[in-house]
Amino acid sequence: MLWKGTIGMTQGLIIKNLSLYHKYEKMTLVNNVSLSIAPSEIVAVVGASGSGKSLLAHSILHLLPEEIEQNCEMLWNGETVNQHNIPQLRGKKIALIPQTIDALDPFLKVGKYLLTLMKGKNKQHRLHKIWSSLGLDIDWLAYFPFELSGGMARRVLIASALVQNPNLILADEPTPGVDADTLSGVLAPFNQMKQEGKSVLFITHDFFAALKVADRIAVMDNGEIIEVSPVSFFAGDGEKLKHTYTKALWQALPQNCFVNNWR
Amino acid sequence: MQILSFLLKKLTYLVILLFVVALITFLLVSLSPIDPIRAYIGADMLQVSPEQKEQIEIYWGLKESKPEQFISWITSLLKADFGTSLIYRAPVSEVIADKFFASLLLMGIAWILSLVGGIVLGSIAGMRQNGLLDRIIQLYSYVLVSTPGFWFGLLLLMIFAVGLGIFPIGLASPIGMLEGNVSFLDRLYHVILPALTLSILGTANIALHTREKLIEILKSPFILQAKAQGLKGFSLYKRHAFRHTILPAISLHFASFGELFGGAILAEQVFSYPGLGQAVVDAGLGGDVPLLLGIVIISAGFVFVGNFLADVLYKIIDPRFRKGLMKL
Repeated sequence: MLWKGTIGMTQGLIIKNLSLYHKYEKMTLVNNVSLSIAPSEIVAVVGASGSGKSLLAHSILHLLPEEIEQNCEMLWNGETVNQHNIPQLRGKKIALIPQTIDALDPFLKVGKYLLTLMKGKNKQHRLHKIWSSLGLDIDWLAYFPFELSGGMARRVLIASALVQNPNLILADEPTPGVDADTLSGVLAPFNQMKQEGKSVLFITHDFFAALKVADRIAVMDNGEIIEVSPVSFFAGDGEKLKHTYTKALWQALPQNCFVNNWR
Repeated sequence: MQILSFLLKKLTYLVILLFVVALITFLLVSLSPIDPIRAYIGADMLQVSPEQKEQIEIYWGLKESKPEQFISWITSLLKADFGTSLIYRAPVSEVIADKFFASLLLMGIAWILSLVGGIVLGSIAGMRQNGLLDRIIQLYSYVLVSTPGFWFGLLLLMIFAVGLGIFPIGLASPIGMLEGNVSFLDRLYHVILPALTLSILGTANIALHTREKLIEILKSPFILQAKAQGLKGFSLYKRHAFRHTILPAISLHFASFGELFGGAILAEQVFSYPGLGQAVVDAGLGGDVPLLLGIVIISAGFVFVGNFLADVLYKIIDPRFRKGLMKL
């Protein structure tokens, strides 16, 4: 059940051989990355800063700047995704949780911003529901982005992706600066989505958070995915893991270090 | 409290500005070869004896030292007494008020037209960066930005007034009509060509600035996120780019009251439009020192008001200022 291959999968997102090339710097940024995300699945992409994780999220939405050339085959629920049909998918089917609060219009109150994104009836009611499920105070809807604290901003960004009720969320570093105690609170909406049959691409360098929430973990290094393993493989000394980099990552976690040294 | 200290600061600036402007213009005028008595008497100079001339000099205080003259001028200025215009034979304040109204109509129309036109053109160009429309608008703007205003005015005059005869050749009202009979429509009809001259040139400047700013805004993270939310085209522009884009344009436009005034002087010359610009040229050529000094002081105040409004507007539109997050 955890090991979902791309073969025969018709629902969800499939990325085949994604390559990103910087035209001016003549540099390959992402090389031959293939990845799939099935419904009810949370796939984490972990890697160091600069390994190409965020580019991955933007390339799925075809939002990379002009100077980056993108080559790949992408399927969404069995249909090819390209420059022409991606605008209909953005936000409504595939939503992005951005990294920083800069992604919100500084001139708009967050509540107003979120309402304009929503369609259909009972907007206010639905927004309040999402808002309080994230533990946000209703009064904060009247705040401007620059008035939010770091932790509030984090959850508002998550709310901005949830309001259009998408099937896939691309979460770009949703947990920086979140301590272990409040981590479960921030991860809760992702688990909720999974229960509703939706999927999450969880991009992070927080390996600990990835292990906590994901079904499968893709390890990215230097623009390539070097390993995709179900989270159950991350156990013991990591003997089930294929790549030495992955093993090193696993063994470097505080609790494992402790175990290793103690032995 | 913050607003009060802001206003107080601006007021101090204004006082210092006006004082410095008054000092410099006074110095320039006193160094200039203008002989106020000759300017006052004009062609009858030969019939005035040296004794009479000296009496006038004493009466006007021209025998006093320069600092004394300056102080007595400043003191009357403070009493809102700008003196008497030599060519119009009327109090300077009255002449300025009269001319200023005519100019205000001209400058006001030109100001609004160029702002709206510039924002529309600049926004289209920015949204279609490097497209055909963008190239056309850019070409138009660069050509017009480098076009001298008086030349463009003459061109319009030749085409629309002389050639096609649609618009009057000059002045602010029909020739031979009494002041009381001139309707607002007449005034509007006469102001169209000079206002068009001013605004078409102003449009180009605003369009280029708006385009530049919009392109910059379109690169910001919140626009990328708005796109990720599925927004595009006009709704993207309307919701997230518009306010950010017009802010610098409006601010720039308020701050360019000086250029507007300068442009109006040329346009008024070309169209023989009897406004403040025409008056300042007459005052300069006719050696009308009180009027010249008065107009300089008033226009300095006018430009200051423009800059002040630009500052205030920024603070009203941007919530970061409203909430006191950024310093006033």
